[in-house]
Amino acid sequence: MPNVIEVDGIVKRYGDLVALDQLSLEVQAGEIYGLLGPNGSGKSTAIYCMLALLTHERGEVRIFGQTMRPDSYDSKRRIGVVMQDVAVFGPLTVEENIDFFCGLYVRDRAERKRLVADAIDFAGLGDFRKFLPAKLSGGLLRRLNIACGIAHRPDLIFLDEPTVAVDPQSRNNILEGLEELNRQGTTIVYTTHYMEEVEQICDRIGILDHGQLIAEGTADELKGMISSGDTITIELQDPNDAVIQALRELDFVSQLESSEGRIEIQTRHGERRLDSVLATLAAHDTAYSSIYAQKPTLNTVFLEITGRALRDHD
Amino acid sequence: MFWHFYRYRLLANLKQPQLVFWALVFPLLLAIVFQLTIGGIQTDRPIHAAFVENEAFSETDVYSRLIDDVNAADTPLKLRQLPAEEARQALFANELDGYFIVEADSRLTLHVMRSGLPQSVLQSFGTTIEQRRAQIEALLEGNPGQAARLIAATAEEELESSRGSEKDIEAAERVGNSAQTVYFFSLFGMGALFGASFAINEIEALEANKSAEGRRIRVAPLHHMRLIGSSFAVVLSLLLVCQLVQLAFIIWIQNLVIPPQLVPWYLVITLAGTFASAAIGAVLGVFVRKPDLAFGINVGLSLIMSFFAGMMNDQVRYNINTHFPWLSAINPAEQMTDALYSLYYYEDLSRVGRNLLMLVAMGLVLGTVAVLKLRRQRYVHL
Repeated sequence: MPNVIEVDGIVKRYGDLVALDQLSLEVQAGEIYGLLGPNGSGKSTAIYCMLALLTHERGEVRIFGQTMRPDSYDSKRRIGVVMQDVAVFGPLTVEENIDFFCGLYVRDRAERKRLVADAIDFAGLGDFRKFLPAKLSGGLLRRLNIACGIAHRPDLIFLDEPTVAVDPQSRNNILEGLEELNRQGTTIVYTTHYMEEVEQICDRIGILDHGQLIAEGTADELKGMISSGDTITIELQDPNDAVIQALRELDFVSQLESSEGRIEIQTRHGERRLDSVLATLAAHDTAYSSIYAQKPTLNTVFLEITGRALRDHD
Repeated sequence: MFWHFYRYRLLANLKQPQLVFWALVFPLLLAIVFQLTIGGIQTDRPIHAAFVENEAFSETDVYSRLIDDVNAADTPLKLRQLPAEEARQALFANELDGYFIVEADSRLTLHVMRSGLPQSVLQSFGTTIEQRRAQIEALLEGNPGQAARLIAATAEEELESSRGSEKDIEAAERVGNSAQTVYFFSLFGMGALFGASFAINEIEALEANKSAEGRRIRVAPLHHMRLIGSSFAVVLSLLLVCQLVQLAFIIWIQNLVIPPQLVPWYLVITLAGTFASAAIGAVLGVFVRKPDLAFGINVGLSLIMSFFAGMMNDQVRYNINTHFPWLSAINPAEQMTDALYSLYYYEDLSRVGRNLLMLVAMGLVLGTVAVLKLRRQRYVHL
């Protein structure tokens, strides 16, 4: 697959603060690339630099094979942007807003009318086309924000935290809609600090912290990079020190915490850990009410790489 | 793209009641309040003059009797006698159109602050008194009112023979109460300045560092100068419509009598004021980081500048003109007020031309500064 975006060693400073530190990444055509990082990690700055809206001190951005400049109109025509802040005009109705922003890209009126109707359907705003933005709920407003960014059917869409402050149902609708766009061939760059979202929709993920891309790959590849394995949780019916000690001595256990019959075991990376735990419980004739294993999350990955949780900054 | 942007931005501005209120409704409301409290633009105001009480004046009772006679008769002249300093102050305060000093050799010296029809009438009045002194004295002795009528008739003849054009007669019909008229004209200037809010609103919509909408517009494939041009056209259109409505209000509701041949001049003044105001709004919008602060500054500046232009008190305008002429020169409200005033009372086109030049220069300088800043294509901060 050809690269749609090539970012090569971008450095962006705000005074003494280095917002982007030698950021390099590539996004292939047809993929959903997730840029994950805590608030303030440089995600929005990275997008604005890619769009040639912000100056940067060093590095280069190429989109569709062309160096991105403010006057790269051919490339810009194929790009859609959904801002973190809702970017619609309050005095205009839903339909007028979508038509206005679509009209910045599409001149033909008949084509634009069709595209606006499609965008309204896509965002599920059919019943609200004559509403002013102020009359919409938070979720609908976010959907309008997205509709304004994608109405002109771009080949590449940047979405900067589009689901902030959105209820779970609207969030699912948005994510499903994005997956549908992707199935139709649109390349998507998606920034968020919600790890569940990137795990759900992204083909590849870049983890950004302090302006640096600290890890990149698929969700499984990222989890494979760390030493942490599954987390196994057991609810014991009759806890005793002997079985806890036996569990602690298993060679793949990196950490064990016990509290009032609930044991949480952090394992090292590897396969078939649950079998060994069950065997140990059986050997000590210990009854349990529940036992389950959880795969490591991207938060675990971020925690292990940076020593901080993704949500620490929220 | 130009017209697409223009159409929607025009609509977005029109659907913001606070902008239309300040640029159009508020000045009209104030005009109505002025109309109800101090009356409208008057068309037949008297001509006020005084005789200075000096030694030559007091040597004879001719002048004091003449004052009584003229005031008692049905003429537009209203005379009084005042000490020299009071006469001077009254002239500066626009309470007098001129005052006479009786010289030791009985000549009358007329002191005025500006030229115009009332001053011409006074000049004729003085000439008539000087030339027909014996006849006037005789009339004052036995025929009350006759001296006044003689002077009025002679002054009219004098006027017709010296300037004698229809223009003067039309102008005479339009002579109004200048202080009150200044209120309305400065109100017109204030409306234009308030309209600068349209420009601030447009800059907010355009600039990526001021609004999310601006960021979205800036990443679209649009040529910046075309975008700026479209936006400026939106502001000019809105401001011009608001100003023309106000002008129509002054003409039809407040009975401003404008000769047809002068209508284009009023339109040009409106256009120049609109241009300057749009440029002021653009500069505020570009250089003041927070749009709300820019709106606040604009409202404050509009009120101050129209106050300096005489909106509340004509004396303030006079004092600013006398002591801080540079402030008057850079005050668009004063330039608009003065242009309308000069056109309305004196048809002084050279002075109107100077006012227009100042307004256009202000618009060009400030507009250029704003456009240079707006032309940037990348931002250091967002």
